[in-house]
Amino acid sequence: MPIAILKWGFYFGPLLFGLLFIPPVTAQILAVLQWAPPFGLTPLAAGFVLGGTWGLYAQWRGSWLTWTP
Amino acid sequence: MDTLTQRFPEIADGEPLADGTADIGDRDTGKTLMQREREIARRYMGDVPWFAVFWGLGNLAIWLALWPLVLFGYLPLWAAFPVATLNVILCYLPSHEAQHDIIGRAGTRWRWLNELVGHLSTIPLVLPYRAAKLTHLEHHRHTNHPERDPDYTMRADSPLHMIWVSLKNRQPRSNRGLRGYRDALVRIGRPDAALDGLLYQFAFYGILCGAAWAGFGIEALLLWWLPRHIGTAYIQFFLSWAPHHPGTRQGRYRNTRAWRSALGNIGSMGMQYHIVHHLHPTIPLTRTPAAYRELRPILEARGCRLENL
Repeated sequence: MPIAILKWGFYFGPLLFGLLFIPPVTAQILAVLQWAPPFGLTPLAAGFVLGGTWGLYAQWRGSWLTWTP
Repeated sequence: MDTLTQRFPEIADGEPLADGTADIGDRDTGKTLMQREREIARRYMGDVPWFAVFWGLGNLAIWLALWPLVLFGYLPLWAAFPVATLNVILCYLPSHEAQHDIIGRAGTRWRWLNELVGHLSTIPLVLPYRAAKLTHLEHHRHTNHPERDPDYTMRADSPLHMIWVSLKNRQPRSNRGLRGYRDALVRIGRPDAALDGLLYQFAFYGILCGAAWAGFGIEALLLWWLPRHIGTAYIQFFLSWAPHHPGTRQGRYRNTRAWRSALGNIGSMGMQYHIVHHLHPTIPLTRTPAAYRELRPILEARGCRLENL
């Protein structure tokens, strides 16, 4: 069972990274740079949009950088 | 038999020389080239390479110290980032010495230290020792073999292309480079070691995410995540790609080369003399330049690629 959870986590790694790491880091970077996100979004919400979109793309295509892995 | 022939029985005397003649021995001494080569190599083996021990454990200690220094405001992040990157770049080679049992062979006094350095030094790189050791020994057994060499997928046409290949190999659905190690471990019947990699990755990303939600995301990004990516590319460039490029030939005296790096011996992490390591893997890294200079006439006779070195 624990191994199955690990494998599941590894499989959905890009999406999890996009939702669990990129949002708080984005919010921190925006705060350091004193940039306000567009459309009245909070820094964290902007991070979720960026991380969620990018993570979903990486999950779908198997690569953060290219169309094919 | 020395440790090399014990570990790699396929390596035997009698390989032809560069001019195609047989290695029948010197007329005066009666010794074959292989015997002379082994005599020279043996002189550089043995003794604990304490430099590698202090390097591995000291490097880890410095990297670990960066975290409280940065988090408590004693060291600015911009200064810690290059140090962390250097730590990751430097963390592999001490473990590499341990992978070849150079610090302490099984059953000897310093075996525990060998395993300690092997396990601890690559923590910044998030590379588990068992997986690294098994795949690396497989690389030695099958260097440049398209299906059996775990590092074969690091082949590239040029230095810039190699960096791109290294990046592409790290993408989520890639099964090349480090991501191909799992297949290699399954192939050799050691899926248990592949599980180590899964656990390491889980711990790594867990710590990154935990730090990020605790308000230390940029610190985690610049002390670990980005240094690890830069360090991985640097290590793969100088250990996997450059010494084997173009990686088309197999055989004891053909599968790697000596070459002069633009970054010098320190910048290339001693890999200019990688050919000595492949021929005699139990010679410690810091002794390979001297061993190379003594072995050079033999390597020339063997027709090895010795490029401007």
